[in-house]
Formats: sequence, C-alpha cells, structure tokens
Amino acid sequence: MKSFVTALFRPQTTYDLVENGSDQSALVVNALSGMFLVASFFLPWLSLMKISLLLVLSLLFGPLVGFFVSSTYARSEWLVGRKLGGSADYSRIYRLFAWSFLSVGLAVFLSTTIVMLLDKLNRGPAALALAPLLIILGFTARSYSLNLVQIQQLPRKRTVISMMLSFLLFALLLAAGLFFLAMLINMGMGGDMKLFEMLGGL
Amino acid sequence: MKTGMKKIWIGIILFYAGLFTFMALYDEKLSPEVESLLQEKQAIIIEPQNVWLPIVGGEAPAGQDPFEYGVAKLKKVQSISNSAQKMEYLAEAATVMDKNRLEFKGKMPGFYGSDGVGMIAYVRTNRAAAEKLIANNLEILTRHEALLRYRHYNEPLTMGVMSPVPNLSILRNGQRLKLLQLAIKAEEGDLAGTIYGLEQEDIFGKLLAVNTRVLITRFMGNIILEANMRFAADLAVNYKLNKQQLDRLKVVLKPFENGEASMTTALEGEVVYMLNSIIWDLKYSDEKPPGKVFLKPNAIRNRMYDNMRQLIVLSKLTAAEYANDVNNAGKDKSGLYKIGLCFLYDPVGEILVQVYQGASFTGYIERGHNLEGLRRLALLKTMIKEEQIPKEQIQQFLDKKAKELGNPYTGKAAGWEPQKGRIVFQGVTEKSEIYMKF
Repeated sequence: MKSFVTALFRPQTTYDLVENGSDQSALVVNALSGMFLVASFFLPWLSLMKISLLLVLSLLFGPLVGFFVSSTYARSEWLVGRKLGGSADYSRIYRLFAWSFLSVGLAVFLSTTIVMLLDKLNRGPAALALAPLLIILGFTARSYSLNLVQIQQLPRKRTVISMMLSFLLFALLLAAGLFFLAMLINMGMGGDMKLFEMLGGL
Repeated sequence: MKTGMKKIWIGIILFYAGLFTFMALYDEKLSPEVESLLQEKQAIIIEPQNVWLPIVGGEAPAGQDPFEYGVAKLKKVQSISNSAQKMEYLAEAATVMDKNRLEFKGKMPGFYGSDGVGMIAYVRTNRAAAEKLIANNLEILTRHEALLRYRHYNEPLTMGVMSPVPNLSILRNGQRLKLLQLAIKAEEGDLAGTIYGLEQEDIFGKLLAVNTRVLITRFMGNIILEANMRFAADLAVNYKLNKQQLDRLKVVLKPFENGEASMTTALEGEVVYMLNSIIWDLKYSDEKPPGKVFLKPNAIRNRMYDNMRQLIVLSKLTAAEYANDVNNAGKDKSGLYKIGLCFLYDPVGEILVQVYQGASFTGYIERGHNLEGLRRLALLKTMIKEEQIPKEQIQQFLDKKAKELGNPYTGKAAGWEPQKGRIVFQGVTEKSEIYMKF
C-alpha cells in the first residue's frame, strides 16, 4: 500500500515495481483496477440494483475489463514504441501500465463515490469531487511518461508521440470492438425490443 | 511468455468461457404456479352470445354487422398465427384498422369532469347540439344498444397480445350517446323509460366489469359504471321521482357484489395474458443467436409472475388496508424491486420487472376502490334530494351517514363544499379526491 501511494508521486517507485515486480502481480493489479472501473460504472445505478449484484458484476467482469484494457493498451504501446525505435519488451510495458492503471481505477471509483454521496446529501457542488481525480490522473500521466522514457530508451519527444499514437490506436481498437458488439446485439435484439414495446403498452 | 503466465492465462480464458456459457445456456425451471396458469385452455370465443365479438367489431364500416366483423378479425389473426408468420404480420393483423371503419363524428362534451357539466343540465341548455350529436352518430348508438342484449363476455386471453384489440373508443362514445339519449327522454317526461334504459346500461357495465380479465377493458368497465352512477344521481336530483322510481335508482347504486369493483380477476387474467404474450413473442420474433442469449423464457415468466402476484395480493386488500399499504410504501422505498443476481443470466426479465414496476398498476387497484367511493357519493346525493336536506344541514347529514356511507379509505364522513357545490371524499393519498357535483 505504502509503495502504491509513493508510486503515485515518485516515478522511481513505479519504476522499481516494474523492474522487480512479477507479471503475476501485474495481472492481479489489472484485475483490481478493472473491478474499480466496473464498480464505478454501476454505482450510479445502485438505486435500481441490489448491492450484491454490483459486487458480483465487479468481481466477475472487473478483471475481464482490466485484462482487456491493459493487454490492448500495453500491446498498442509496445507495437508503436517498437516502430519508433523503443527497446522495451512487452512484459515491462505491461507491468508499467498495470501499476499506473491501478491509480486511475481507484481514482475513478473514489470520485464516483464522493460525487454520489455529495449529490445525495446535497452538500455543495458535486463536481468539486472531480478535482482529486484530475490531480491523480495528472500525477499518473507524469509518472507513466517518465518511466516509459526510461524503459523504452527513447527521447522524450518521441516518447510523447509514441504515447499519443498508442492512445489513438487503443481508442480505435476499442471503438471497433464496441461497434462489432453493437452490431451483434442489434442483429439479435429486435425481438427483445418488441417485447418491451408490447409489455410497456399494456 | 513464461510457462507460469501461460497457464494462468489459459485458466482465465477457460473461466470466462465457462461463465459465458453458463450465462447463455442457463434458464430456471418454470415455477409450478406459472406452469398451471399456462395450462389454461382457450375459452370458446365464437359463440352467438359473446359480447366481446361485437365490441371488437364495433368499428365495422357502416352497414356491416359488428359481430361478424369481430369474428372475421379474430379468424384473420388465427389463420396468420397458424401459418407461423413473423411477429410483425401478426401484430399488424391484430391492430389493423379498416380504412372505412366507423368513427365518431363531432366532439363529445366532457361530462361530469371538474369543469364538465352534468348530462341533464347539458341537454337542458344544448338540446339541439345533443340531438345533432346523436343524429350524426346514430350507427354507433344503434350498435351500442345491440350490445346491451348480450349476456356473455369471453376474451381470447391465451392469445395474449395477438388477440384483436377491442375498439374501446367506440364503446365509450356509444355509452355516452346512450346516456345523452336517456337524458333527452327524461326531459320529455319519460322517466320510467329513462330509468329502464339506465338499468340496462348498468347490467351491461357490470357484465363487462366482472367478466373481463384484461386490465384495459376492465378500466373501460369502470368508466361505464362511473358514468351510470353519476347519471343515476343526476336523475334523482333533477326530477321529482316517485318512491318506486327512486328505489329502482337505488338498485343501480346498490353495493357492488361478485367482484364488480374488485380488480383481482382482471389482474389474475392479466398474468395469463402476459405469460402467453411472452410465449407468442418468443415463438414468432426473429431474433438471432446473440439476442437470444438475453432471452430466458422460464426466468422471464417466473419473474413477471412474482411481480404480478404482489399486485394481486394488494388488490385483495380492503380500501382501508390498501390506503395504509400505499401510504406506508410511499415513505418506505425498501419494498421496491431491485435488479438482483438473476440479471447475470436473465437480464431481459430483470429489466422488464423494473419497467413493469414503473407502469403503476396500483393505479388500477385504486380505481376499483374509487368506484365504491363514487357509489357512496352518488347514493348520498340521491338521499339528500330524497330527504330534502337543506344546504346548511348537508354536512350534518353526511356525518350521520358516515358509518355506512363513509370514505372507503378512511371511514370518515364525506365533506360538503358549498362554494364548489359538491360532496367529496379524500382519495387514497392526501392529494387525490373523489367527488360528486350537485
């Protein structure tokens, strides 16, 4: 926990985790990050669902989301970096992403919880809770880019270009995946929608 | 990749493959209650005394027999469904409207509403308009009068949403035209004939209310009964009726029996209707494999049944118990349905129950109790006239009658509002009310 908190502010700690940590621990960290993200997604729907469902959805599908995001992003970073002359292997990039991703997942979860609580209690503008999220995201991006420079052995400018291209590639892959999923669902959901309409119209 | 990590990844892939297979293939067993409800046999619909057929065929083009038109409409849907066509064709056949269908001509005034005038007062001041309305819609009136001769009501409940939709607008306007005609008859001095006409309307309204097992038609039955009771009280106040005539009106206003005001039968029928509707949809909709993953027929039906069963229990409460339940539920939201773990394998069913919960079926139950409230008010209005109670003593009279004719929800006496010229009961909530104008 201590190393996680210091990793947030000290890029060197993240670097140590990348160099000395195992792939297995990175996997667990990714699963955890995914759980935080999935829980954050479903938290606003808590009035409609039981808390047990939220927990099970986070436990079952959080790791899947974590594995998918981390693997896809790390692979994009690795592919683009290699084209730009980077020397890091996939495993190190995967570990770097995992430890950075954890703070993102946690920050999103905490912000969502705070926003919801403030909203419920009518205590001040809930948007204020987004400030810590932005601060953590800023620190994470800084730590991630500094460590990427170190492990890819690339000049800073090229690393920034690599990060931007990787993000674009990741976004593109994500959009394509979502589009494919939407098409699949659209192909087969016609009947369900009719059922909704009919029952709603009783 | 190291061998250890490879094994972990294979484990993860196998775990998720297993999880998704379970989610896609698992379905619950049908609950015994649902199973027995689905055993319900289709009632015999095409029989000469079934008033459902001419109601369905009420919109038949001028000159055609509504009964035969209703039969043809039903047979058309049955023939399409037998040939296993797609859902769209079936739904179209069930709801399609003939281009030359009979339609109401003109504008029916909003009788007995908050600003609406009573029928008799309307006829007194707008006789020509009332006669014109009747003349322009004579065929609707004639068809309505023909409905009063039927003595059975049977719906094809097991056809679910595939059953032809009755034209309730024609039915409602037909009844109002009939009451308008009776009001003219009363103005002409034929009070015995007017009361006889009202009695026939009352028998028909109760036949519909007791026998229909679909909520929307039951709702129409309530509207018909409400109009009859208001008209009965209107007659009592506006004409000097003899004892025998008043007694006949009191028969129209007698306490409801055999479930005439209860919504239980309609809610129970609605379950059968709904469970069969789901079957029809699953049978004829053209969803492909990815969509089918979200459809678990047994789980959906179990879930919907559980939800409706709670409403049926609620509908069996007395008005006072119901008011207590509703007001407590308003404060305590813990009873509201929340999507549970079944969402993992039955997302459609869980969401449908949420949607259904928002549909506020409790409003239908309330309508049943309000009907009893209205009956008491109509009877009180009749008695106030009969006993010639002066305006300043009306509240005292209402207080005296609180025991047998008090608010069905609270037991309190009706209130007299001289400025508004009405007697009133508070409804199930503080904001709602049931009233009757003088």
